[in-house]
Amino acid sequence: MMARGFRSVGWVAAVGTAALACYMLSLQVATERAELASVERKIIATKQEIRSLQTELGTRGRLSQLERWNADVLALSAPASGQFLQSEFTLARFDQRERTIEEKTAVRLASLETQKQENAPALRRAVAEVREPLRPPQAVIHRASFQTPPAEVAAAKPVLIDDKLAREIGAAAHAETGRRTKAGQ
Amino acid sequence: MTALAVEPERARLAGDRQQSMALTYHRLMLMMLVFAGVTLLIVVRLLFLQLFTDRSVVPVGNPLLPARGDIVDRNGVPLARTIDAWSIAVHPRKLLGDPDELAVKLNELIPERSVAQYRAMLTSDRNFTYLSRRAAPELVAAVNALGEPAIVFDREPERLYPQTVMASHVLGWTDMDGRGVAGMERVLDERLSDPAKRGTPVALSIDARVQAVLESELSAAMTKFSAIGAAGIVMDIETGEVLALASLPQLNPNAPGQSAIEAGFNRATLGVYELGSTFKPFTVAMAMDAGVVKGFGQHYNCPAGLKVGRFTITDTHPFGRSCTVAEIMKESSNIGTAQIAAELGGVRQKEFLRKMGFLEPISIELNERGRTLTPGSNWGEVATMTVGYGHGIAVTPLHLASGYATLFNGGFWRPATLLKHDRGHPVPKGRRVFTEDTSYRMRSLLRLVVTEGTGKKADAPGYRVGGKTGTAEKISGGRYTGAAVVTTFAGVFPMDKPRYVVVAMLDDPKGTADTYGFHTAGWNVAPVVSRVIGRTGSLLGVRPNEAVDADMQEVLRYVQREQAH
Repeated sequence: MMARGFRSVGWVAAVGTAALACYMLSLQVATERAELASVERKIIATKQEIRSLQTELGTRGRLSQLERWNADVLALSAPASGQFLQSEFTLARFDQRERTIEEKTAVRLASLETQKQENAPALRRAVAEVREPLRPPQAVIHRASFQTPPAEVAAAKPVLIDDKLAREIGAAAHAETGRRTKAGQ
Repeated sequence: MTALAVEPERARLAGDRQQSMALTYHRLMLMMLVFAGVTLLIVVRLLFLQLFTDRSVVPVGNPLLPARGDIVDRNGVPLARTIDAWSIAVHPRKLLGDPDELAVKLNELIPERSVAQYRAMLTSDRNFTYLSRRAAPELVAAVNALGEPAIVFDREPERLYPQTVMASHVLGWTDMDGRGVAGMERVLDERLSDPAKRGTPVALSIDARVQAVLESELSAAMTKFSAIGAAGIVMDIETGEVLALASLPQLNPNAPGQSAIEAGFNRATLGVYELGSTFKPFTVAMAMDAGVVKGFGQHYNCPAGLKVGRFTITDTHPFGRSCTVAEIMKESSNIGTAQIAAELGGVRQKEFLRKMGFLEPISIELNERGRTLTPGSNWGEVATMTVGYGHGIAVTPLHLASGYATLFNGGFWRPATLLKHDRGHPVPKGRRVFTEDTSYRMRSLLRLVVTEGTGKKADAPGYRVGGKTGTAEKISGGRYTGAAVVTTFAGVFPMDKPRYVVVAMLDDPKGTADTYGFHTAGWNVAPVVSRVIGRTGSLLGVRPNEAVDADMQEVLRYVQREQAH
């Protein structure tokens, strides 16, 4: 009885709630839409402002004005042809500082220890290029490898090389040394 | 009736009441129905509105779409824009304040008009009149502070040229209604005001940086040598794109009415001048193409004066001996060039000039194009000879630039353009004028002029400039006087692979102490070209390199060293 009496009230309440909910929803959507529109308007206004600021900046910083400032204050000039480098070698020529001892040593080691440099073709090639004009390649490798008197060379290599060859090498090396000291003078 | 009615009072009363109750209910019901009906009507109307109102935003026009399209340079630097500017106007009939007092104050703020003029405006019978258009915001604030309600402020589109006078002859300007009346504004008027297209800016072929340098150097030279005018062009040899085009004096396109009328004259495309010796390379190239000149070692007799008809052609540096083509070019000999031109003949010369576009107005978008002056029907032997060294024919500086481009790009003539080449505007194929071989061999000849000859001051270290000087006397009162000259330098760089042509011209320069009183091109206009190239060469993608140069072997052996004698 009670339930039947309240059923109609319940219906009304349910329909009312549903209608209200729908209305609220549509209201919400409308609000969001309005907000979106206002954001869009703001974006447009900002874009317009950006444009006008850009224009103002461009006008204040026009090229003739920049040139006037440059003439008055900065006095910069266009780079001359000497300031353009054609290759990395020209750039390397600008390195004016004195080499440190480590750097010097490293270079000497690379040119001396020919045996080890067998594995480093680039370095070996560099050595060969440097020495080639001075004397035949065979002797170069020999001299460069062993910075020792010829007697020691013979003693150091008895197993690999027979006496005759060792003597020959020794004689050649001796002659080389003589020639080099002459050349050095 | 009344007596009868009294009698059944009670019974009638009860019935009456019932009846009136019913009537009341009836009326109430009716009322309710009316209310319900009205409510329903409102609801229906609301629903109707809700459902059938067109909510789609009617596009009133994109607010970001400018009233007139922008013009930008080839790198996108704005050269012309439309902004919302303030205008100040007054409704004289609605004026509340004292016109005399207001006129004085307005004159203080906007001194363009006198107090009397302002008073006349304020007391006039008109409904609306402008006090100031294109007013600055500070001025608007100041006028607003006067507190006169009849003065109104409004925003209206205004054409602004951010770089002020720069490239004013290229851009042109607009009138008060925003229609282009000169330059590219006029050419592109339709395109710039078309709602479908004006959103995207128009890119010109101009490079703002190069334009600024060219203008500043030309204006410095113009001041230094007290010239009455100057013109300059930087052009891409391969495409015909004009990277800079200047004509001095300039006017400010932001306020075109305030400049001198003289400043509106475009010397680079509208003014025609006899450009003198800058024509000589054309003559030599024509002769080489026609087979008249076989090599730079070919000899011509160069006496101190060459008598042709009643004229005598003279040289500034007379040889007085036989000289080679290389020497003729190096010392800019009129006598030698005249002989080459005579051998070539007027018919072939005219045909070459026609193919180079020298007989008709320059081919460019601008409307300000001058008609060239030629010997016309009087093209006899004398005319052929004088045209050979650039006299008796008057063309615009842009013709000259276009001609040099033709000569050094492998021999193809292409129309000059102020619009950037891109997919929608491809480089035209061009028409062949000179052979590729001639074009190649001319390189060393013009490089020689700069390394050894009259154009030494045009050299920019590392940029391998080649070119030719030209000093032509101006005609005043129908005769050459020698007092007033037009000096020109047409330069091309880098000569080992030509890419750009630079033409500079000074109108009536005077000698100074620096130039030892000379007013020839080698002294005044060649340094302009040198500085322009030195400042812009690397911007244009040419690496200065003093280790490379054009192949000079072909010319150097034909040049006799003066020291040797």
